[in-house]
Amino acid sequence: MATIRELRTRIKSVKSTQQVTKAMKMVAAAKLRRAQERAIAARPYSYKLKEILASVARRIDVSAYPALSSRKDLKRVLVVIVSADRGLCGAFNSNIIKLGRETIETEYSAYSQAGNAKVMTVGRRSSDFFAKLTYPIVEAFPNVFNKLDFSSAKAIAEKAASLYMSGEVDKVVFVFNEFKSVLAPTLRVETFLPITPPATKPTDAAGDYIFEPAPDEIINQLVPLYLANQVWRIMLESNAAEQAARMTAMESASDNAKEIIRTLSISYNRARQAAITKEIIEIVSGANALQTEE
Amino acid sequence: MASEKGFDLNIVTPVASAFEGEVVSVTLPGTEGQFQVLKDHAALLAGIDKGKVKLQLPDKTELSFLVSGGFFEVSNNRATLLAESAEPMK
Repeated sequence: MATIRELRTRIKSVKSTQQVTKAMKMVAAAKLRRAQERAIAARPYSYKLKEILASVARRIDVSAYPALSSRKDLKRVLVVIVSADRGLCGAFNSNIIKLGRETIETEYSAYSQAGNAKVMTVGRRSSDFFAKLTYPIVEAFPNVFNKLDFSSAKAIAEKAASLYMSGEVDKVVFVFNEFKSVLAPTLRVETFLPITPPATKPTDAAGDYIFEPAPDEIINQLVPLYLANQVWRIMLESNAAEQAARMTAMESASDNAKEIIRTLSISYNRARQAAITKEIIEIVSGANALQTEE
Repeated sequence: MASEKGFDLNIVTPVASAFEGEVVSVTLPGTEGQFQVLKDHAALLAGIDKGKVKLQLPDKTELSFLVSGGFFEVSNNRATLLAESAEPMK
């Protein structure tokens, strides 16, 4: 059985761990609120952009644009895995890495065996992990979530788009965490390129448009912007989901610490009582011995 | 809804909504040259260059934004300016 001193130090150390996890939970909660606000603030732009792209796509022949029409001969695929930069957020990173590998090994196993499944990683955790494996890595984008800004989303989108346009890959998919609610992050695999124009129902606004410049040129400008925006949305979602996951993980860590402290305190008190009882017995029996001698 | 004189304009950026409200006119730096949109404009989708966007509000005040590229759409007296960034100017 552990001595009283051992128990006391253990309780102390668990308490300080609990303090750390509690603080991390608070920080994650504050960050989550901000991340959520940002994700929501970005939505109108994203929706409107989608609407415009759909309305242009309805008026042109999409097969003339490689970004908008799927290739018949699918040979190479690029899988982009979006993880977090930091750990201590439960199974967040390991889940997304697992899903990323599964996607490569099952859905694209034929490409993978021929060495045609390329990988691009966003976030330090997945970048570190995939660097140790044998998949051909196109580029890694670690540490993008510390200072989340649109330019990094743009850089990622441009890299993916240039690989697609140059024919190095025929399809680009993103594997990421979507923020649905605080409790349940949703893992998603989304096709990034080719773009399937969102099928919108003709609204009351779907009259004849004046295009200025011509639809062709608009598409050429719109597509890169749309792609950058998609990446931006994915990053915001992933960021919010990460903070939510960290908050939940830290909350359960704090709860576990509380439980450990409780059981340790019980053992500590038992040991203390046992020691006191022992001392009393020793004193009493010592006194008794003295009495009988007299 | 917009009153008789104006139409609704919404300037959105990836970060936030920069302006939302009724305007009488909006002057934009289109890729094909500067143009102005008034109420009851035909449905239009235009590319926007870097430059200054001028709004005239119903109470005659003017507002300016510095935008960096994007798209402008108007239909049924509802206009949306999608800009990569939009900074209010004095």
